[in-house]
Amino acid sequence: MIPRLAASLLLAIAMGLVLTSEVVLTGAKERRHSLVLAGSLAVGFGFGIAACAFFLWAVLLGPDHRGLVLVELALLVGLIAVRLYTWRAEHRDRWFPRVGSGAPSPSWVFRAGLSASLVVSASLFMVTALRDPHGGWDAWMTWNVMARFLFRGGDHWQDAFSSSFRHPDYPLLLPGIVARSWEYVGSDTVVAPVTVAMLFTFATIALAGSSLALLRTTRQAVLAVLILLGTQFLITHGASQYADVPLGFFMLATTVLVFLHDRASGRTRGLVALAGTAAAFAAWTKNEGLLFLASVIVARCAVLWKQRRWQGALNDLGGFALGLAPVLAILVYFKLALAPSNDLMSGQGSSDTLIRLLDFQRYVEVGRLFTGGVRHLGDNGLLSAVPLLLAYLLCVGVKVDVVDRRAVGTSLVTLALVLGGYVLVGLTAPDDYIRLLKSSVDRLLLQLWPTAVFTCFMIACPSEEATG
Amino acid sequence: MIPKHPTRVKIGLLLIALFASVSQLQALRSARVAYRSLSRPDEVTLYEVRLRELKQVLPARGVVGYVSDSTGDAERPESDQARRSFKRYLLTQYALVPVVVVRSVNAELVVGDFEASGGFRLPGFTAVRDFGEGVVLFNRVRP
Repeated sequence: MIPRLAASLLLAIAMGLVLTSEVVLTGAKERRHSLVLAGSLAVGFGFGIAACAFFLWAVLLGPDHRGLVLVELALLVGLIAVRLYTWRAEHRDRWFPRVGSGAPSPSWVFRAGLSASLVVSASLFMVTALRDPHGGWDAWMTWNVMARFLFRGGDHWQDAFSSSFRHPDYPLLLPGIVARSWEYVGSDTVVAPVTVAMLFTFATIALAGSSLALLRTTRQAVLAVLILLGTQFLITHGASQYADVPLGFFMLATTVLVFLHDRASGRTRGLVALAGTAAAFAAWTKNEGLLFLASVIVARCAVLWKQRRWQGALNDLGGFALGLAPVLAILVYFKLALAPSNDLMSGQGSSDTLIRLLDFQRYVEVGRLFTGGVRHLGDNGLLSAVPLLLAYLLCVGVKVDVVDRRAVGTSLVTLALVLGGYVLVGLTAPDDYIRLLKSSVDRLLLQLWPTAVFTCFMIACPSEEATG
Repeated sequence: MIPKHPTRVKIGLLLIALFASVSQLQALRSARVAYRSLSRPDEVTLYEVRLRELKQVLPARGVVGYVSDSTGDAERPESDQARRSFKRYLLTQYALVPVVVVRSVNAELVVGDFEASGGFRLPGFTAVRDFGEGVVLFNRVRP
């Protein structure tokens, strides 16, 4: 069972790596970090590609039809061929890291703290996963139940979208990759969703760390990783197999790729296309990903419009759309042809929505829920993570590299738009949703947390420079 | 805006070090608590074991109804009882996939999921089999 599971996940990650090899740098100093960056991106991209391929396979032939592995191997070969074809004759890096990003190395204290944190967090993840191998409530009732329908349902796999279920319109990246792994293994073992959850959780942290090591400094990367590992909810919620951590991964991946694209100085549109694919995978993971997708497009256009860079905006949008289109097409097909209407949207009517918007008490309640959620995020009883980040920014100051200004603007506006969107949904949603919001506001904020930490360290003055 | 006083930077680094240390100690404690509970099977696995025999006699596909003595209070859907009742239904659905379980008796076969033991009746249905632990399969009586 384990070798088959490993083979299925490695095949998926290999497909992802073919795409994300675009970010690998050739310089001896940066190569190590850029390989970690490409590898962590490859986890999400690989799972995204494999989930899309599995969905198309299910639609065309049925999920249990034999031959999926051959098709995926052919897809891998095809991706490698396209990658080799597009490889430029002059072997140049696609983007450039920050000058001196690799040095000075963090002291042994930082490294020891990082190692200890990694061991403790990995242990916490494993024990949590062993305690609840089917995942938390939402995981088994929404995501794993769908995966079971895909795997056990045979010709009737579309029963998963029966309107008698909870959230049958939710997209299929997570159930798709889990069901695909079960098809490879031949049984619906809990090891598959646990492994997928583990890879998403730690790839998120590795992605934040490796990108900051290249775009800022290694010490900044270590500090960000310490904060993410110190956010216990990120680890336990990751182990609970909910879709919030995978969604957070794709939000972070999109943001990081936008930064890399700005470091490319127009040398390639590949990076912004990858950003588009990552944003589309976010939408294929959870409905909130659609809000993120719209937000990142609006934010990017707004930032470029403010700088009167019309041509740049058009180029970015073109590249972004190129990467976005294939996954978005699959999502649109799913929403139009298979998924029933969204319970949140079907509870909206113009008069009802207006009444809710005029209800002042709602503003108070939703505001209280979100401020409470922000205050409690990463709270360890002594310090909470958001005030900690703000205090750190106050201590070290702000220093944004000129080349990163557009990406920083894009990221901050995107975060604000998504958060604003969540608040607006809370204000206009049916009464049931307010009750649901009470138990889910921490999860909504967790989706944004890796991107928020990454962005914070992209604008914080690197501490080694501040100390002179 | 770079701070001129390096002490502020040290404070910032210390704050992060403090946060990381306390969080990891807390994580260690959480891991220990979770580890101690590993000897007990989780709720979902227990439910799957409870419904295993029922699953074997159900048709491979199709829709079955669901009835329970823990229906919860429809007026107070946020109450603990309503949540528990809903969770039992969802656990049944999760265990019986790919059979679709609808929370009503509008089906030929209805799964009974009872907290109380024995003496289960459903008007208009006959009990096909009592699997024990409150699990009963009912079949609609044909007129």
